[in-house]
Amino acid sequence: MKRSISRLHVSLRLLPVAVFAATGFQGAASAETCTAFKWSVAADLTLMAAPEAVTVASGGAIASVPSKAIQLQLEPSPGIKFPAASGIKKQAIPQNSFSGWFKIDAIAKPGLYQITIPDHSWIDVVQNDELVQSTAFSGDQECKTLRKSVQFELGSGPVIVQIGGSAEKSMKLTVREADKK
Amino acid sequence: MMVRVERLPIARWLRRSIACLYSCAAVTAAAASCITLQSAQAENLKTREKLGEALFSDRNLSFSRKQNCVSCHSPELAFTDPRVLGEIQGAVSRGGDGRSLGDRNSPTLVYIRTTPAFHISSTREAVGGMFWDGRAGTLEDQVRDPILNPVEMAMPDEASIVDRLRENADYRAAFAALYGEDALASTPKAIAALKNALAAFLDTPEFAPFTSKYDRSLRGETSLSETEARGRDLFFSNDGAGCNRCHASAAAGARDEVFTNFGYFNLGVPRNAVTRRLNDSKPQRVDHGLMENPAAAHGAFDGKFKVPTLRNVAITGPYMHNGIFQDLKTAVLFHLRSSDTTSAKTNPETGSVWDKPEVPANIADLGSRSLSSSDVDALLAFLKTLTDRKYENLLSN
Repeated sequence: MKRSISRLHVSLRLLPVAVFAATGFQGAASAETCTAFKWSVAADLTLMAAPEAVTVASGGAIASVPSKAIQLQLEPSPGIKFPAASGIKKQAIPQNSFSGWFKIDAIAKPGLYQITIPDHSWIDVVQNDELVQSTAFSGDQECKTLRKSVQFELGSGPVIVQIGGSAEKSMKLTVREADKK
Repeated sequence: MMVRVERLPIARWLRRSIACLYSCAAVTAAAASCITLQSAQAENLKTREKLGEALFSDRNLSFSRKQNCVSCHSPELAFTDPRVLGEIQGAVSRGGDGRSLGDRNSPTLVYIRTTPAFHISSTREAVGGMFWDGRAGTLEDQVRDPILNPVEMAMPDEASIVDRLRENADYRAAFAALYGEDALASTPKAIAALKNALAAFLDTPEFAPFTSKYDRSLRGETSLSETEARGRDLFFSNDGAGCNRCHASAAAGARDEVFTNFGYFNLGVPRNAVTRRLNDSKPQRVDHGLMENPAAAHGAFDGKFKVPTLRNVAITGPYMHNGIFQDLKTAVLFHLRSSDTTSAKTNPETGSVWDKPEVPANIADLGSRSLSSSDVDALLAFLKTLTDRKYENLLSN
């Protein structure tokens, strides 16, 4: 009896969560209006909303593609030294902006990956000492959490992500394998 | 026990009901998410302009599905190509195959809506039109060409473009709603609708904001600095630098000035040897400019290129039709090279005298007067005031 009532209490305590999932969460998503992306960024929004993130300083490395968001510490753009020459014209990078890069030591599984960021900074991906041409780009000007998502076909092995021209000193971003179509 | 027997079903019922509610909530949330995504996409395509915007950023309109209009005309850089492309240094753009390189610089699309249709005037001068040689008369004529150009988006033919449109359910609905149920039924109808939608997007206010410091100064919202004002006076004055003879279509102070007279001139721009080496041009290749336009295939037009707008010029380098000059100051000095301006005798980017013109015929006499180095700096300061507000944060570069 007590156990049943206890379960019932737990269930009832979780009821608002369920209702929120059905209504409140949708309300929040609607407020974000992140649906203008050409592909779903729902998983990226979840990672961004989570308090946990892998923190990395510019020039740092992480072992593999994390299951969390990445908090990249940036440096003033004029002084940044990217491992590979930026693929973006210098005039496209605001002088008073911030830039940075990090290395992922190993892409374990080759495939289509997406990098999603909260502003319109430029993204270069370097693999085998060459800039990787993006496969697809999408953006949502109305989304407050995420503005830009770019997909790259990556092989196995190390990869470098270069971010240029952010207005903020630190950027929370996501790197993950793209959803299967 | 009795109590338990009586109450357990209620508790179980309640638990099951709540479990069901959780399931329903999850399903509802997922369904709502899908519906929101679909309705948002459909909502985004409800006008010709929005459909055009979607097409503008759709990589499926290129053969490789890797290039869209944005690739070479990014809204983050005044609708020019932001890519460096290594040794090319941004002079020309790379095609959707990831290898092909163009031969001319991708021009800004901002203010393109103000360009008049291509025509030959009563004085036998070419005016208006799209591309550097005016070969597309109007915006609608222009938008199809990059999709079919083998070194750009490289679709093999119009029918293939329409097939790509038909692949997309949102497009099918949007084209039907905006252009009629049979909009995608035939290739000519579909291409006409595609051109109309893309042109409608390029005709939106985003492409003619008039928000630069210069515009704001005309509206009394700000003042140009002393240097900027001196540059403006040099620009517009008849006995000044003479820039306004080609880079203006009205007197100083006109609020809709886009800083071009839409005419064509041969300035004697040298060939871009790096581009020609990397884009597999034949050694004897000469870019005849306007004369390559079938509507102007006459020797009098040999080597002439359209006068570009100077709006946002400070952030849209490299300069000239083939992107041969990296810096705006170099481009300004090049215009002054036949004057007595000392600093204009050599190309500051090479330290050598200017290379010979690619087309030596029809070279315009710009009649430039000598300018001091502070005059040149003032001109550059003024040109920077033509940068729209959205891009002013890029100016310090």
